[in-house]
Amino acid sequence: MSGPPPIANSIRRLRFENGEMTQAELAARIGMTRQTVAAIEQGRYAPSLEAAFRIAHALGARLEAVFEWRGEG
Amino acid sequence: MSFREKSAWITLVTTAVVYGVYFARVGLGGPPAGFLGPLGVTVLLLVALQAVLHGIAAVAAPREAGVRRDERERLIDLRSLRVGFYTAQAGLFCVLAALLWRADVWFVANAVLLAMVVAEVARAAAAVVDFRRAAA
Repeated sequence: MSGPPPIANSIRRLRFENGEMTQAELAARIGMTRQTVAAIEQGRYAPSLEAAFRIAHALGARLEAVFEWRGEG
Repeated sequence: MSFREKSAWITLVTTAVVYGVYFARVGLGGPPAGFLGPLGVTVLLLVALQAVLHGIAAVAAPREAGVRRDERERLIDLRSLRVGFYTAQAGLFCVLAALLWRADVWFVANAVLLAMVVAEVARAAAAVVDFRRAAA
């Protein structure tokens, strides 16, 4: 929450490919609020490793297909 | 706006307004503030206001209100608690310094109360800022 995390994600596309899953549906599946899913999707919050795995699992994708490091090094 | 953010707003506004009225009327010296005195009325009013407003917010979003805090909300809680803690420390240090020139019991009691109120307002404001940052 101190500047956007250097992590890109494909959650929006993957939601669309999973029957146009809504943010609320994804949030319910992984035990988060819709606002937190929206913050992750828009790159304003970096989820924990466990939450990242839960998101990937809910979207039927591998972790690296959902999140991509965009920082230095 | 999530239920937790609404809760932070409710705490921020009601605490600032209700205790603002208390300190505007009583000041720091003030009359004895027993349970049935101005402080008792203030605390009861604050509890009632917050209970009613949280009830309304919960009725408006019953599913959200019943869900446990997720990791981002817990992080916001921890960050805002830290802000509140340091604010309380600074406030209590000011109370200690003020004791050097005035040490009557009602002044000290109200000064400590003011430090606690400022810390709570700072905590709630920090939570609101964090929630807004994520939503912006």
